[in-house]
Amino acid sequence: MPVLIGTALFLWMAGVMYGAFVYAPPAEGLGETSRLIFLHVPVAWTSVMAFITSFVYSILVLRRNRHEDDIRAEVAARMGLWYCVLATITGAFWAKATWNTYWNWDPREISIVVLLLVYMSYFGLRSAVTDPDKKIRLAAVYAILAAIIMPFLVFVVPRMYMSLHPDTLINNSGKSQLADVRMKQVFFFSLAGFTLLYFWLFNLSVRIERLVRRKEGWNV
Amino acid sequence: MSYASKIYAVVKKDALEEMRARYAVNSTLLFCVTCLMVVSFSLGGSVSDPRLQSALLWVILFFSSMMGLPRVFIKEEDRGTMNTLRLVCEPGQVFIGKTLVNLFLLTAVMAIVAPLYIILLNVTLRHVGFFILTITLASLGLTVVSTLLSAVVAQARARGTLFPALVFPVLMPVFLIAVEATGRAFEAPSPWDHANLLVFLTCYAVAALVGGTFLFEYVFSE
Amino acid sequence: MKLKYVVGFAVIAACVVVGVYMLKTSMTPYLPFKEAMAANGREVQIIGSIVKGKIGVDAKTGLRRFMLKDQAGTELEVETRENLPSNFEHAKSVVAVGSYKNGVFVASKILAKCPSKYEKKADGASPESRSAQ
Repeated sequence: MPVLIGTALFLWMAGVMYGAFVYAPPAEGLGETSRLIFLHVPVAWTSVMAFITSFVYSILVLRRNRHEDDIRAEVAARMGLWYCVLATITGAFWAKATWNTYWNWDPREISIVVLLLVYMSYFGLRSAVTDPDKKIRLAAVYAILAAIIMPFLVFVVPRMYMSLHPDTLINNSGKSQLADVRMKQVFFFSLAGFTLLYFWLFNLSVRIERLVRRKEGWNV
Repeated sequence: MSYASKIYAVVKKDALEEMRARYAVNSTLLFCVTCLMVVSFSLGGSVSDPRLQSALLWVILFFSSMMGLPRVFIKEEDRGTMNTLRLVCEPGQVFIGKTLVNLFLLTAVMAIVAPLYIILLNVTLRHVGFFILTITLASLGLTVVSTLLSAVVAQARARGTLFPALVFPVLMPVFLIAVEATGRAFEAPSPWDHANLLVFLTCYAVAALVGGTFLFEYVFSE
Repeated sequence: MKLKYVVGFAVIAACVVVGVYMLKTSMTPYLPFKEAMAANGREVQIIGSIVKGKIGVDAKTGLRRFMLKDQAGTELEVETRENLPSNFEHAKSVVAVGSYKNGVFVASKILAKCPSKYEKKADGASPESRSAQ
């Protein structure tokens, strides 16, 4: 069964790649670089999902004090961090293609760096506390703070400061900006694919983390 | 003892200690003034853009508070008196008490550094009321969050380096909005047009206070 | 849940909503040119498309000048000391931050922005993403 799911996901993502690079037409004005949207946005979206997952499980850690919840909170935060890194990198490549610089210290870029810092600090905090019960509690508190700040950084800052970063997909008028049907198809296909991938990876990572912790002597 | 009198006791203990040794105020003030001197030497009166002046002021204030505020819990942890606090007071009382202590500390520091900054960097302060209000509201949010995270950091290792890393991202909204608002106080013809920024700072402070009180319980209790 | 939690979360939620709403006015208020001109020297953000053929650099003062036209059709002359972005002439729309003084919009900041529409090569298009660049 797991092999089946894994294979299905592999095929789905292959489909996403085909769609992004072959099937969808290039957009006017930015040509082939516009294809990035099919990868960059879903990756960023996955990162947000992961951070929200971490938030939920951190609340559970505080309420139930169980290491099981902490495993999920930590794994989710780790995945969120990696996906955020991916989003930053894909964004930097797009910036290079469009404005000829990888990095510009644009408000959007700054807020994403701060987001990376928050979650890196989360892991810094975890490694700085030795007592396990204290560790999961303090880390959970910080994860909650981080998840509250996250929407500010991801959604508010780029709208507040003038930024070179393109306007967001769901703009003020609420309408989608993807005008071509094929682009819409590929985009949502990609979004779904990355979401499914996220759940699958999360599940796997939690199981791995549980084993790792057992080996380290935690009580899981 | 009543709820409020326990808070008062927490504050009084730190205040007495402070008045005897003046350690916290001195060290924070010293750091702040040193920062200010460095900025002033390197730039002199040549910074005329109000937004830059505002940003530098807040950088100095933020880093000084990152130096000075965590002491509140670190000293308790180091002396082993954390458990005393846990036994005698409820977490909420400790939180509010320590926040007040930090607030007094920060106010004392700002009362000296802000005027100094304005003089040394030749800032034209057009709207004193708006400026004071901005500083007050921003400090509130800053102090509440810093106190909460001080308690977190006091129970960890590598506190000095960890605290700024933990606290700065969470304080980003305050930092950005405070810089914006102070810039307006320095230059704009009508800063009160931007009163929405002050309301934001108030909202942040209130949310931080309420959220902090909830979270502190989990940070503090054994 | 205990009453204090309910009240507390309600307060926090209210603060978040009000807080974000407060920032809304700081979030992209592009004024129509007519309002910008009546703004009494206040600093505002405007957005418009470039009127072709009217971009120039004044050799003596180093000021760059161009004409913008907003959605309402009003035309406004903009001048700035800033270097114009490299893709300026081909930009579909330009954002300027500054104030209207003596018949000219003096801009402290210029951004050439591609409009945000993904379309097949028929009309303007631009990349969008939800976050990180």
